[in-house]
Amino acid sequence: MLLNPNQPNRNNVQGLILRGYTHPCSCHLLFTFTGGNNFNSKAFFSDLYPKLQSAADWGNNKPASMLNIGLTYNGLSLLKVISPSDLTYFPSTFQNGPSDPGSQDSLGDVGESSPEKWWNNQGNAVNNKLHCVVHVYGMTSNDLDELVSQVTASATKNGLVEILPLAIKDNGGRLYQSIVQHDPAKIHFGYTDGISEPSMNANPSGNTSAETNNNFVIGYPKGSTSDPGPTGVDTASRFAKDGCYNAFRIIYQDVAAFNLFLKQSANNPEVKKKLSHLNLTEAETEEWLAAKLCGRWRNGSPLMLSPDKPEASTASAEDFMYGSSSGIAGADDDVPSSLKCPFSAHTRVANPRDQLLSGSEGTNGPPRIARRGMPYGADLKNGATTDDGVDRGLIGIFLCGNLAGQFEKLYSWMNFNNFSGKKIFNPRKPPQDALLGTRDLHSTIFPNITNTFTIPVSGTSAAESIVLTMPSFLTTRGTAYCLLPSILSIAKLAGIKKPKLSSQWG
Amino acid sequence: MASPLTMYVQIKQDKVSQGIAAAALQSFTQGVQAGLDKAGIVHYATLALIPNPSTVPGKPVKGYLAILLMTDFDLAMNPYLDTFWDMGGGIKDAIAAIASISFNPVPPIKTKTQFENFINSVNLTPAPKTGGWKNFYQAYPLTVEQINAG
Ligand code: HEM
Repeated sequence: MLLNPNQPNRNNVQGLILRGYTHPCSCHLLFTFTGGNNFNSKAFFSDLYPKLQSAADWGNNKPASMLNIGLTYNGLSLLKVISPSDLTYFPSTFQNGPSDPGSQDSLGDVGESSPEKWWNNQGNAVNNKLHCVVHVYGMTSNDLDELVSQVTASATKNGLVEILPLAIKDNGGRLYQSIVQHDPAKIHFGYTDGISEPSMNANPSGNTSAETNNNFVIGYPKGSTSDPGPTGVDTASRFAKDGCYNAFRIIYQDVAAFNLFLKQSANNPEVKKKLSHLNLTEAETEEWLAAKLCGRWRNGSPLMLSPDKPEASTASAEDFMYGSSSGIAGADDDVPSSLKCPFSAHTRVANPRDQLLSGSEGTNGPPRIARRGMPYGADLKNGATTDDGVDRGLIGIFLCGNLAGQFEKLYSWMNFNNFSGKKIFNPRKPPQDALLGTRDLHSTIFPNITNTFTIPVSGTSAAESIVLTMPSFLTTRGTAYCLLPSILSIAKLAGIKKPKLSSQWG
Repeated sequence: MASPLTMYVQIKQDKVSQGIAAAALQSFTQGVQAGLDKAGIVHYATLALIPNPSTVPGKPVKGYLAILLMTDFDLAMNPYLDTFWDMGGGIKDAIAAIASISFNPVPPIKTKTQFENFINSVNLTPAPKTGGWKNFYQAYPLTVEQINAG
């Protein structure tokens, strides 16, 4: 194989890392390596290897079905390809996993979301023995089912035991992708997802950027602000090279509570009064509020480009800023934009772009993550405000090269909007992300947070804004930190002696 | 609630290492001041040297056994270690200097992963696995920013 020290070979990187798939069907299977008979990892990975998809361009030959593989630190430790002393070179955040208190200080999973309740109340029994996640994709449900059967048959034959993350009543307990509102781009709550993503361009010259692929793919530290690791000359670093971390997070979405919140807020006399000049119908007010919570209208149009109504022409737009276009100089140049997109709108917290950050955030600007998730669970009847008992939400696949510096950093921002010293954020009572905050007012981790969401309307003072009290719409169903190893590393696990790999750089 | 970080590192006994430790103590505040002021999330930071243990009661002993860095900072530790690394300068240098004189060999700290792993490996006060803190007291729940906001 040719070696290019400055950029990854796409043939050696798992596909979901560098490209978003558009296969409409997928299933995400969880396995443990313990508890079965005659565990044979080599045979299992060797069975899966022919369907393992790289990031190389597939041209006109889009695979009907394919898969990608993630391993937790506990899983890797059992595979004996990395010496026990070298395993300690993996970042401690990955080693300890997301239920560790150090990670929980950012993720803030409490109550029904707490790690003891993850995976359909199996909690630590699964947190400690979840070893492998296989992401299976199909063009049709038949294609998918066929490959899922092959994977599970191989697992059983080779001593792996499947873990069911959901209750049996919900799709047999497995995480199957669902289609929301007949549109593969939609997620529950009705928003269009998968729009704003880091460029994932190669960075051969090593320019500093948070969105090039060397912030995600391990082994190319030059110019990377996230500095994925490990990158030594040890067995852990060699195994990890061309891999990427996946914060795999299953989030239940209470769609009925969300719909009810929009309806009640649209009928709130204070809201009606402050929006009277817009002459909106009740349904239009609900859409307006939904857009303010997210920072994008449900069709995808960003509020910064389409502040008054959704527009087809901006539905997939990514190119906008919060500060520099305001015409105002200085530290407050990003305040006027809050009249369009509120400071705590989800997309503004998850990527504040050019918004001025506090000193504690360093000088690299906001970290980026790549999102490859999809919804699970059937639609709730359009607009319903009472729950039907179906489990539904997001199969979150959040990719990064540095779990602490990218995924957990953004989560800590979402739970505690203190990252930008704005006067509108009363530092004594910081708000949370309008869609994602924990709303845990007694939190000792996020002291004195408020559960209100401020939407500036005619100005940025409280009197000129709508202030909504936010319920929690989300429950964490489980989280695992996985390494998505390179194709060559999986070949090694499969015992394939001389795997063929052509080169495609970048 | 802030997180305590208590880094305890046994140090080498040779003259150069002992000299580095003594010098670190003298220049600590000056070295980290600018970075910590800018970060605005650290409540305090103290560096101390632990004397070698006496072998004969009452007889003073020369040199230092270990270096102890005690600090208490806001919110989660994991992501903010990353930021301290990005800021460079005093804090990064202080940690690298401590690692360089560690009695237990530590690979030179050149990456974020090594920085994160070294600090976590010598932290005597990691967040408790279950329940709340049993060995940490804090008089107030406010962040540095909240206190400074009056
Ligand atoms: C059920 C939970 C969630 C929902 C309903 C949700 C919804 C959305 C929507 C509708 C968008 C706008 C579409 C787009 O730009 O692609 C978006 C963007 C985004 N979300 Fe989420 N999200 C959720 C969880 C998360 C989590 C857990 C994270 C981070 C750890 C996250 C990070 C982001 C980022 C980085 C963006 C892109 C922002 C930008 O670049 O402008 N989201 N999300």
